This record gives sequence, structure tokens and C-alpha cells, in this order.
Amino acid sequence: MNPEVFLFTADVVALFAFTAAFLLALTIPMDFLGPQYVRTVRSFLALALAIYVFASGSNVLQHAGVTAALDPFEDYAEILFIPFLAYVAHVASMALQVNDLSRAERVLRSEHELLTTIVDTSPGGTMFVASNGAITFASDRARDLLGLIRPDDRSTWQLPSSFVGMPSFPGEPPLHIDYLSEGVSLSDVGCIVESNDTGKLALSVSASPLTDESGSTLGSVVTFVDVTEREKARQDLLDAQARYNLDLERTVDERTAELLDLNVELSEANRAKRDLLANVSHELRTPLNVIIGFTDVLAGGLAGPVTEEQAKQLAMVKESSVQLLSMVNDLLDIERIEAGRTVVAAETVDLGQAVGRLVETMRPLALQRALTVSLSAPDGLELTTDPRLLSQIVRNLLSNAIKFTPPYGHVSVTVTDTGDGCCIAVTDDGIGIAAEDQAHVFDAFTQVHGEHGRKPDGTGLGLAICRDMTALLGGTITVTSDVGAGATFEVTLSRDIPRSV
Amino acid sequence: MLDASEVVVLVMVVVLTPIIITSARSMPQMRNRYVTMAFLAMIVGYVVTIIEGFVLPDLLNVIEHIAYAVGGVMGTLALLEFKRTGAGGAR
Repeated sequence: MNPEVFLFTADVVALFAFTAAFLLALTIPMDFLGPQYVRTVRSFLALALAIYVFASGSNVLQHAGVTAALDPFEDYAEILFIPFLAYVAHVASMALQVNDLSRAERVLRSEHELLTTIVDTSPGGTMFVASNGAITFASDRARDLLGLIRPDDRSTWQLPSSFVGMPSFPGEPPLHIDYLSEGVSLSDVGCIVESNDTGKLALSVSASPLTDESGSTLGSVVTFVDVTEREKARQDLLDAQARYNLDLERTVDERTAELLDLNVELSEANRAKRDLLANVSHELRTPLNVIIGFTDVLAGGLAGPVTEEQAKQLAMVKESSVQLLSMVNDLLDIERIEAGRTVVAAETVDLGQAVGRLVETMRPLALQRALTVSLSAPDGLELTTDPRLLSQIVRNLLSNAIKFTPPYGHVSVTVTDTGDGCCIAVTDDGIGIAAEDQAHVFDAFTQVHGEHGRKPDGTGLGLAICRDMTALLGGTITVTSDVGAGATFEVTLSRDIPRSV
Repeated sequence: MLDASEVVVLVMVVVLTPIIITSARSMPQMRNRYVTMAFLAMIVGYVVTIIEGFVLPDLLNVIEHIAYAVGGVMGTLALLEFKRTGAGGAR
């Protein structure tokens, strides 16, 4: 094939291709380069492509035999293609870099504005203390709080000459520029600052060290909040608390003195009451014994014959006198116990025999009320205790059991050996004691109401005396009962009266 | 026959090609196979232009013109790719 055909064909293809490329270069979007560089890049790219439009066109005209006049210019034009192309590449590259830098600058500026806004609107102050001791940045609030000043010839801030920064508490670091310039880490450290401009302020200071990429300290970012009002309120609160404590102590002292005086008065009144009780009771016993004695004399006919009616009335006089004497004796007993004048005389007691004698003593009284009394006690159970107190305890319990058991009822006394002591249980099948009354049944002058709500005879001292005397013997007394099912009083005693008693 | 203008072009190519390559590498938009092929075709054309002055003038002249034609076509395709993707696409 003729080489001219190849050349002509190649040149025609080149002409069309470069023409198309030229037209595209004029129209394609190049927004990524930025508006200020698009025109330059587009122009020089189009010029570069135009060179080969011209060259290929010249070749086509030459091969077509139209003209070869353009051929001498073709070579010179081609010289410019590569420089144009290099310029386009360089400008485009530079445009991209400039765009990236511009974008980064915009982001940086935006972030700077955001941080500046945050810092300036923060209620606390922020400043940067460089490692050379210069305050290179200070927010508006920091300047206000510390009274920072900037000399005309300097770009850094300074503390006023009157500034004093003291720690709020011993051991905490002061707000010294030299200290902060070392790159320190602080968290909510109290500090009192004072200057002529700001007066005296309480600050809560925090700081973080700032380092460069190599780890060298650049200084400290210091933030502080004005806590003057808070500290003042805290101090006021502490003062108020101290005043309140003083008032409270004074009041307590006054009340204590009043109570001590009252206690003395009460002790004196109580002693007077006991004396009165003892004297009256003692004075009552003598005439009562006389009444009982002469009643027996009259009833026995020693002073002359008595009619049946007179004998009956004398018996009533004697019964009432005996009851009165019993009450007087109870009062004297409780008074002696409360006054600590009860003497415990310990001796060895055969418990079965002692309790048996008491049961026999009380049996006539039980028979009068048509009651049966039983005793269960082991033989030879000996105890070291005060027989007089023990007798009174058992007698009182038996008396109560007989008193609160309806006719034809039964009262049992059970003595058991517990190993280290004994237990005396007095059980009746009487009216019983309600659960809410059991807690108070041993209180002095307290009586549980009997059948039909009737108040029983007596002073209400019997069980109180039992409790106190049992305690004197080092024992305990308990009650178990259900309403209508009787009651059981248990006295537990040790073999010997404990030393503590 | 060696033409002075052709030598100047070759010198330009030798001197400026590193600049073009360096700049193109820094632009992701220029990493396009059509751009590379177009540039290589043009370089081939320049080199062949020089050589044809010494050996096989007719054959190398045909190759030179074909290389320019290929360069033009590849350049057109590269610009079409730019236009289609907005920032070059065929890698």
C-alpha cells in the first residue's frame, strides 16, 4: 500500500481527534481546580491541543496537495506543545494544592472561631502560660478576673503588679506564673487572688500541660472559675453552723442544769415519799395488830360472851384488818426494795420442803374458794438462797393464782431441777392474762382486771415485789398465759445467789 | 535529515517531562490511562521524528504520524472521560 495513504489517513484522524479534544477542552468542567485557575488551565490546554490541530491540518492540506505553505510553521508550533502541557500540569497541580490549603484554612478558621466563641462565652477564664512565663493568650473573662494588662509594646499579657495569688488551703500550690509555666496539671485547686482592680476573689483553678511533638513542655493551659460567691456562702454556712453549735451547746448545758436540779428535787421528793410511806405504814401496823389481837380476844369470848351476830361481825373486822395489814406489809416491802434496804440472807434450803410448807399454808385459803392445789417437787433439791424472800415470792404467786381462779378450779405448783438451778412454776386455770397486759403485769400498782372487768382486791404490788425479790436472788420471773386458759408464772433461780447480786 | 526544531522539541520533552509527571502524580484527576497513553504516544512521535533522520525515513515517518493520531485519539478519550466523571475515572 502507498505510504502516503497511511500518512493521509493518520493525519486526518489526528486532525479530527485533536479538533475534538480542543473543543472538549473548551467545554469540560474543571471545578475541582477552583474558579481562579480554570481559565488559565483551560486556555493553555486548548492552546496546546490547537497546535496539533494546526499541525495535523497542515499535514492534511499538504498530503491533499492543496498547499504546503504552512509546513515551515508547523515545526516551530510543535515546540510549544510540551511547554504548554507542562504549564497546564503545573498550574493544575498548584491549583489543587492551593484549594486544599484554602479548604484547610477555612476549616481551621471555623474551628478557631468556634473555640474562641466557646472560650469567650465560658463563665470561667482561660489563659495560656508559656514556658518562658509569658501569658500568650487570655480570654476576656481571664483578663477581667485577673486584671491582666498588656503593655503597648508587647503582644503578651501580664499580671498587675498588685496581684497576689495565695492557696485557699495549706499545701495547695499558689497561682504563680513561674509555677504554671512549668507545664503543671491541676484540678479544681482553690486559690485566693487579690489585686487593686479586681479586689479579693476566690478561684477554682485547673491546668493542663501543653507539649510539642517532641514532648517538650510549651507551658500550661490554665482555666479558672470565680467561686467567690460559693465560698462566701460556704463560709456563711460554716459560721451559721458554728453559731448554731454554740447555741445548741448552751441550750444543752442549760437543760442539763435544769434536769440536774429537777433530779435533785425529784430525789428529795421520792425520799420524802418513801419516808412518809415507811412511817405511815409502820405506824399503821401497830394499831392493826392491836385491832386483830383484840378482835381475837372478843371473838374468843375472853371479854364476855358474844352473840352469833357479834361473832360474825368480829370475823368481818378481822378479815378486813388482815387484808389491810397485808397491804401495809406489801408497801413496806416495796419501799425497802426500792430503797435498797432489803437484806439477802442466804442459806441452804430444801426447795421441795420449803415450797411444800407454803402450799400447805395456803391450802385453807384455796379450800375456802373450792379450789384444789397440787404440788410436784423432787426430793432433796437444795438451793442456796434467802428462804424468807423465796417464801414471799411463792406465797404471792400462790395468792394471785387462788385469787384469779374461779371456784372448783385447780392450782398446781411444780418444782423442777434445771441442772444449774431450779424452776418453780405456779399454774392456774383461771381467767388468764391478755397478751397486751402481760408486758405490764409486773409493774407496781398495776392490776389486770378480773372477771366481768371487775378490779381485783389488793394493791397491785404483789407481782412487782415478786419481780424485785427474784432479781435480788439473781433469778428471773416470766409469765405465759392465754385469756380464759389460765396462767403460768415461772421463777428460775440458780443454785447459788450470783456474786453480782 | 535532522531538523533543529525537532531537536529543540526533544530537549523540551527531556527537560519538562519530569515536571509533567510530578505534577500529574500529585493530581488524582490525572491518573487516567488515556492520559498516560496519549502522552506516551506523543513521546513516541517525538523520538521517531528524530530517528527518521538517520534510518528508515519512510517507515518511521508513517509511525510518527500514526503516533500523533493515537495521541490525539487518546487525548480525546481522556477528556471525554473527564467530562463523563467530572474528574477523570478510567484508571
